[in-house]
Amino acid sequence: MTLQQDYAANAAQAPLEGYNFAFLDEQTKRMIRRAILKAVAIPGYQVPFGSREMPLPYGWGTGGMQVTAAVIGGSDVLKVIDQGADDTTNAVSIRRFFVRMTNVATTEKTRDATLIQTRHRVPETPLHEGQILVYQVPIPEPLRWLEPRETETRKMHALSEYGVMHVKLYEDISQHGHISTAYDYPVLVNGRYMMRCSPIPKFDTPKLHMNAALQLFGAGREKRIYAVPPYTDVKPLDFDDHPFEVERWPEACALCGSHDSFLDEVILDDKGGRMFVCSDTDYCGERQAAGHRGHMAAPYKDEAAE
Amino acid sequence: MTTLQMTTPAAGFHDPVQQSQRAFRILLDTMARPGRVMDQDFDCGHPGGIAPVLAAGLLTLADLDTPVWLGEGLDTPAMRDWLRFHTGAPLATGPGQAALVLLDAARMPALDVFSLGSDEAPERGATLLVQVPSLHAAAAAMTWRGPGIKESVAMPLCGLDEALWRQRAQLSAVFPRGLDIYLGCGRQVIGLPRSTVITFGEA
Ligand SMILES: [Zn+2]
Repeated sequence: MTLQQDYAANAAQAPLEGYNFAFLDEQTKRMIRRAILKAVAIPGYQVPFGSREMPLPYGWGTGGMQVTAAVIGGSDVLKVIDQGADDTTNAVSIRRFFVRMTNVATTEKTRDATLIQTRHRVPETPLHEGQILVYQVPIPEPLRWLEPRETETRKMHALSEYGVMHVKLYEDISQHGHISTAYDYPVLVNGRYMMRCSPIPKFDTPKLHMNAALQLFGAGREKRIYAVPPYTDVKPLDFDDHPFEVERWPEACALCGSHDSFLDEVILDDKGGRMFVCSDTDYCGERQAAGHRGHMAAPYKDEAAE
Repeated sequence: MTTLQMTTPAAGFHDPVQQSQRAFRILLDTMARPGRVMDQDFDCGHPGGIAPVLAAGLLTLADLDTPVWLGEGLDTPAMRDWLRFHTGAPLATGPGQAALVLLDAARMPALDVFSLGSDEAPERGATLLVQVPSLHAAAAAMTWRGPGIKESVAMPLCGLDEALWRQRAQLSAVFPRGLDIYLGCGRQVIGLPRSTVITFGEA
């Protein structure tokens, strides 16, 4: 039996006997913790670390899980999201894993969490100082598609030599009339290191800038940890004549009426029917609970009862 | 059971898994928010003459992979025994070979004796744990700015010579090379990452 099968089958029990708190052994946690501290001290720089096997295949967030395991403590309140939702298979698996391995409290409420592990989104609700956001990163190197050799990208970061990325973005503009990168938009951290924000939509990129929370990034397969401390300058790469812009939608969220959130398009039928809803389920739910209504929302429960 | 040695090392964490996690979060929060004083809200064993918060830092970070340099006045048999017994960390052959350094504010060497890392591997810059007489003072003497600081923070000298602070300020010119520093007094600690820019006098 693999651990994966085991914890998938048994949710929400006491921490698994025979395993260390948070699964990783203390030696591994120490090594990861040292890498995290150096990552915080050198914002945006990718610190190499000795990645350990986690009971999930690569691509399922093993890097983020190792960071979370090294950071998490008994008094944390954990939230896990995948594409903005708390109830996807990936998010549920990771949350169950940490509950079994640590017995920590969990929440779906962004504001109540002390530790949030995420894949592909930054929550819409602004984060606060007591929070740590852990990103699962598949590919940490922003220059990888432009320069496949690690020895070369390492030199480029050392010299802060990022001309190739500017050339690539400018080629985009001349071909498409705009920068076509919609996810994983490259940023410059603290005016020094070019960084990949993990595949978050361009929409979320400005949320990294001067965020009150500590942001940690873990890449398991490529064995890199990097960080954006609170209140750190994070600037998307752009040009004077083509400033950075986030995506906009033709309508508001059909459920909560929000004009300010990242929307997913949902196909309703095969006749072209569709609606747009918030990708952040907690944000959308909170707005609906507060009485906000989109054009396809069910009437407010209390009103219906009256 | 082993027989007692002539001297038994001082105690370390009584619950290593949970206490190292709590100590790490203090190290993480203070490094992420330079200048903010944090309290270690639990006890841990430590050899005499060293701030409990720095002892907890060593127990949390040191192991076989981290050569430790014990600065003047701290390189005692009791300190060596304690460190070896609880962490297994080797003593560095010289200050420049150390990953972790324990120092006393009254007996500081020049900062350039320690490893600053390289431009390609800046993470090899050393981490300094410095025991200081106080983290609070009536008069601020310098201003810190940079990641983790919302605008700026006014800081006292914390018992270190101004000349040493000027050495540290000059290291900003070689960023991303540099030193990451914790200042500890009793159970209180402040973090000072290499990314913090220090200026003197009025802000
Ligand atoms: Zn909504």
